[in-house]
Amino acid sequence: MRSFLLVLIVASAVLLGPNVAGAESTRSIDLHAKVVDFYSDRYILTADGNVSARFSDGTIVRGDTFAMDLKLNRFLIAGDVHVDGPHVHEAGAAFSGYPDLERNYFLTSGDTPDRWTYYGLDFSDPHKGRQQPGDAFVFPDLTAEHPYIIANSATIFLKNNIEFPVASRIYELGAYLPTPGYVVNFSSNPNFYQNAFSGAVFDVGIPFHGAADALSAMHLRYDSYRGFYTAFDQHFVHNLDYAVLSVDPLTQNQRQYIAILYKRISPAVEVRTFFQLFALSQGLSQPVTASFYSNLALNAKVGRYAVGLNVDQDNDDLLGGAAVMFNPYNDLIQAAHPFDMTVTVQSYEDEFRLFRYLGVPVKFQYRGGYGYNYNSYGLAVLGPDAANIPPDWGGVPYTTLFNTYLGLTAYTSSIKLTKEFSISAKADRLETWYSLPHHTLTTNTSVTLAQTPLSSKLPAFLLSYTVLNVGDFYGAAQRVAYPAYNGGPPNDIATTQFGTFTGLGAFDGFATSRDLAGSIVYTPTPYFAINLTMQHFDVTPAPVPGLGGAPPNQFLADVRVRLSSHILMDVSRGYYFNFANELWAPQYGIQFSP
Amino acid sequence: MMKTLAALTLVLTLTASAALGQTPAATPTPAPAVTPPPPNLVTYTGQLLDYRNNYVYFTSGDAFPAVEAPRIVDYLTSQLTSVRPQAKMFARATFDPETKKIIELAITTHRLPTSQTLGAASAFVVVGSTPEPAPEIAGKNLTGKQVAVAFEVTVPPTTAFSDNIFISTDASGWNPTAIKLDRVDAYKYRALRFFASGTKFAWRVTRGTWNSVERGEDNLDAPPHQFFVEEADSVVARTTVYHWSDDRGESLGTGPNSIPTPFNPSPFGGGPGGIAVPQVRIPPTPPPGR
Repeated sequence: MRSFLLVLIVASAVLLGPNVAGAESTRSIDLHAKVVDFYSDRYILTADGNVSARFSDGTIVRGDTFAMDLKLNRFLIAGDVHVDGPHVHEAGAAFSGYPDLERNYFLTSGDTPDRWTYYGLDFSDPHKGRQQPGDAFVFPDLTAEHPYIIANSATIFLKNNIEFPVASRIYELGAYLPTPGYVVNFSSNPNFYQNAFSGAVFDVGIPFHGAADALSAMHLRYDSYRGFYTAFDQHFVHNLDYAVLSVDPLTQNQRQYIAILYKRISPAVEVRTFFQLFALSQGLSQPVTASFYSNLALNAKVGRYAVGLNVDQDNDDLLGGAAVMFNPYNDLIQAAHPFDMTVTVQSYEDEFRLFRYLGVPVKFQYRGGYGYNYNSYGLAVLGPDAANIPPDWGGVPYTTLFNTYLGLTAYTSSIKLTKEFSISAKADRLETWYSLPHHTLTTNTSVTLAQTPLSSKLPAFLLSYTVLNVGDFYGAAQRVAYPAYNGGPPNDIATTQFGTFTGLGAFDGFATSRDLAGSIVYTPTPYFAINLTMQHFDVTPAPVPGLGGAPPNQFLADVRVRLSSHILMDVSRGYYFNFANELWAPQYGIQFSP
Repeated sequence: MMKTLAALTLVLTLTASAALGQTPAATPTPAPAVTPPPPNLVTYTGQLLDYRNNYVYFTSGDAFPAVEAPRIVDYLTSQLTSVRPQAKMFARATFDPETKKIIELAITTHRLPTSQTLGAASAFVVVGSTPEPAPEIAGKNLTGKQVAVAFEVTVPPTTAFSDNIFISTDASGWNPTAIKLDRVDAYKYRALRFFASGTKFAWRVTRGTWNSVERGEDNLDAPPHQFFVEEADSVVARTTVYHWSDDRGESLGTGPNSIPTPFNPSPFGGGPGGIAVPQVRIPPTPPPGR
């Protein structure tokens, strides 16, 4: 366990150890005042009374009041302002910082007021009289706003987060509750939000410590299996690179230790690793059981091709002596270490020039790959010889499997028929050959007709017809691989709670789905939108209620209403036309968004 | 468990209420009862930055001189007040055109409609240095008015008809389902939202989770799109998605449960709505020795 943690720390340090360029403007502000308020709806931080703002070079600006728009990355200190630093001791009326412009604007209060501009943190050279932005000294209008967090200090890591100290009060449950510290992340870098948690129906993150490139958070989570529990994750982010280390759950014995590391090695190469260790242990003592899953993905741009390498490795028996529990036929799987690897090459979008001259531009992409699979689940479970030890296909055991695939997607642009009507078509074909003697073929073709009015206030209509064919070709051994259900007619009958269904023995590895879909989108005002979608599936083999398959007819209604300037409510629900006795979907989909 | 949680919540609430002492509350604005200044005097109304060394500084960035002891009055009552002008207060300055100095300052903590321009007061601004241009700040004036922003996203042709497409922005804490888009074309989705002019935000396109986020044409992770809301009636934020991060090209993965076998028909479940496949069951045979 210790070695594992050490490896993770070293790997994180290596991955996240790029050069840090020297910043011209301050990178952080240590803020102290009688009252510090954070307005979460506006991402605005204010401070009043004996304000002291310390920049990353040590310069301190004092004043009566402070306001900062965190998104625009601008701040203002006003009222009896004093600027003190290694190269500056000035008094003035207001000081405004524009770190993105690497400018600080100062209104002096000497015998004759003046406008000075400092370049970045160079306070030794005031540029006097230089024009200043017209709104450099404007306070934000916070009428009718209520602070979300109240504190008396805060550390602002510009463009990243604000860390509030212990005993800061946060507005929850209708009252200001004391916190053990709180971090508000407002970074425009989404990699702070990468995480590996899954499965909980309720998750509240409580970030409690932050820095310019790091964020630590506790999570309160709930799921029906574990009940309430806590989890922890630690984020390190630097530009595009990131690392996430997490423990989930933290307070129960069956834990997942997860590490996600991403590095953009060069503009054309990236690598991402995912490591998940499952362990059952009391605290950090020797686990009783342990297993892991790991994934490595390497992607690169080579000319006009996207090249990828994907590797998966499992080990369900890190401690040895695992019990047979997954495979009912033999104990090979528990003893094995499933491994698979795929190399893929995908072309950029290209175009058939000839069709452009004909006025119907047709674009295409092609792809190919090579895969290797060793001891994966299910590999050794094929046909009537599955019960053999080792299992085999036609007398040949297959503990490894190779595959090669080729695919092509061809599609038209949206071709204008009239001012409002357009038509488009696309087709995709994918064929995969396996070392176990069979190949699969998937063909997907669709045509879409769209009416898109010039005004977004008028309804837009969409009609699409799709044919999907999938087939698994075993040649002469087709019926060996796909034996008729229950021996075929007349015994291929399935009886479920929804009735008796016949003809199931006809399935021999080939299936077709024909899908006719239409939708209407109507957004008469920005405050209201309705989206209605109707789909009809004609599938062979037909779906069997209670056994499998999707309802042949599905209707989905989605209504969005803006409740306020900050809240949009989205309500959706499906209707299944009595398939498996189901009419309306049991639950509404309700979502609130900005 | 629930009782403990409830008790904890109650204690925290009481503690917070006690610790707070006072909570900020909006103060209603009474109707102003202002004596209008004499018509021959120049006035300027704005928000204060400071009042220091006989200069009054407004948030316009302008400093005006004041007489040695100007009348400081309450804006609402026009009565003399002992309250000292300070930052964030609103004030109406009345100038004496002879001395070009402020002779009266009517102050209030209530928000006032401010003068849009300096007007005649521009002649009274005091600044020590000769103005110099600053090219780095040249640009359009931003009023913060509501601007309709139309998001228009072109998705890759492999995107299924029934897929939901969302916009995630830093303004919504990178919620992967923050803004739902509507499909209006075989490849195009759109949504309309309002933002104040001058708003800057970063955004990415997802299919509902961070495991299905847009990627570049080179299939590499790309930084989020940056958008700045210009001063206009409506603007369009367009992007093209070339790949999804969960789209591995081969579509039939080679991982567990994805190899097409007679007893593992998952590849046939990948179509729109899924395809029902009868499941063939083979009774398990115990390994030898068990």
